[in-house]
Amino acid sequence: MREDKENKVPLEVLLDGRNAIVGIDYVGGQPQVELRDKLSIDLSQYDLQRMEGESPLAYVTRVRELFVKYTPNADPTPETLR
Amino acid sequence: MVSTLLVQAQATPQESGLRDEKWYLPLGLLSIATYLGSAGFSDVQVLDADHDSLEKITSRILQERPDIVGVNFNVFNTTLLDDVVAVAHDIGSFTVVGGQAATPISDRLLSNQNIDSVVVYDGEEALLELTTRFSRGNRALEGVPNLAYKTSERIILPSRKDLRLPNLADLPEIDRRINGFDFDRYLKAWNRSDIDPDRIATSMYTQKGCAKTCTFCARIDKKLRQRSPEKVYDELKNLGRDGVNYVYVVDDTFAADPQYLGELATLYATRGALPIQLWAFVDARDVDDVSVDLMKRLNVEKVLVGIETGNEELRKKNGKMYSNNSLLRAMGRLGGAGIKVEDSYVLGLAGETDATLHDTFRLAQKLTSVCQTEGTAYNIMTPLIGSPDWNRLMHIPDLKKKYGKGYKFDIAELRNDYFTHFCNFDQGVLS
Repeated sequence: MREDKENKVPLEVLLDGRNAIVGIDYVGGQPQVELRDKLSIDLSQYDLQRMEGESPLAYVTRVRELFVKYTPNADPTPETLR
Repeated sequence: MVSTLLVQAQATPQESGLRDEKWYLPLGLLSIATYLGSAGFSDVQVLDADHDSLEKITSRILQERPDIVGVNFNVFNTTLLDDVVAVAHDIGSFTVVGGQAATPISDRLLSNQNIDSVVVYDGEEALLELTTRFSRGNRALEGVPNLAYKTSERIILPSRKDLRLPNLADLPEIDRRINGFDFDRYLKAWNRSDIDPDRIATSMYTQKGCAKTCTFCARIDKKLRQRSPEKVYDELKNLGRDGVNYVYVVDDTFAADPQYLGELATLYATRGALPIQLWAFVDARDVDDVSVDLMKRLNVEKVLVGIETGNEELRKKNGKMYSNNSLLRAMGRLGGAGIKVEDSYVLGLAGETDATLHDTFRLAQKLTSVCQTEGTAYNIMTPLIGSPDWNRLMHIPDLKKKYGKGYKFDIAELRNDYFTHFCNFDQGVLS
């Protein structure tokens, strides 16, 4: 089975465009993935606020990662110049 | 015979921070090579830094010592440009830099002593005239269409009368295998197994130009120019014979002219539909019942729509005058026809705030209820030279001092400077 090497999560789960992984527990060494429908997730004021000492670019980059994570079928790869 | 080597210097490996898309063809350079070939100048090679290493490119230059070395330029990869022109200039090749990104900064590029000239706008006529003159031993540059160059005293920019945009209908079909160009390696390069593992994809264009005025865009073609529908049909048919089953149409606005799409659809009806799916850029304002019907008949599988932001006011300030409701209606039409939508946003537009970012997220989520989205793209704003947003930057004295000359910028620093001056991100107490 293919898996995400960092989190040892089956890739089939990561490729599910509709659901987001909101938690991972390991039970008996096996990953138990907690999924939520991305459309049920909204971002909080804490997500969308620049942290102290965080550069504007670092903030926008962090926000982008959140958007990608919680938008159904978002493109997870880097930007393109096409 | 004058020898010419054309190099696509826009590589997308790790150091560029961009997506790796090796299926995407260097269409502009292939078009120039085909044009020169059709005029009898057949000694033209095209190399692509997305496939050919810098070592391979420079060793080809050193071995073959071309009379002319042309390089397509992009702000994301200036080091590669500098390396190629340094090697070429050192052995006496005449160096030409061109491409979309080069046009607004021809004078800046010419500050590099290894760059002899810069082509602005399209390159077909300029390269043909240069090659013709060189073949006759004439090295004079005055009057070469679309060519900026330098003399010992000054930089000469082309006057309006020296600007020439070819009629696309007159250009020959691009030869994707010209002089041994390895088209097959592009056909094998589709790597998005999560989207469609069996896709054999390539890119082509049917039209050029866009009259819209988005502030972040540095597109130079403001008038719509079109290839003949017959030639487009023939090219698609030829691509199908080559095994292609998916074509990315790179036109700025594929559905801008419904009459044009209608003529193409008529060819599908009379000569036979083609088993090739299309993926095209479409402006939301061009999506109506007529254009959706035509796109369906042309086997359009997906459209890329630049929505930019979920905040209507911000979208208007950045040049796109439409409401979220009209957008959702348009995307609903696409959804109803079974055409997928790749919705694309720019994060960090001039005027962006935490609240407008949130609007974008919510709109992207809402869109999934009216159409099938695929590959929602969140792009981080980069002010491009030649765009209205770049001009905004040049009105800030400190930034003009920093970015007013040259062409090599730290993109991360540039973005950060832009956000600092034109966005309003509240800094909280979180740490």
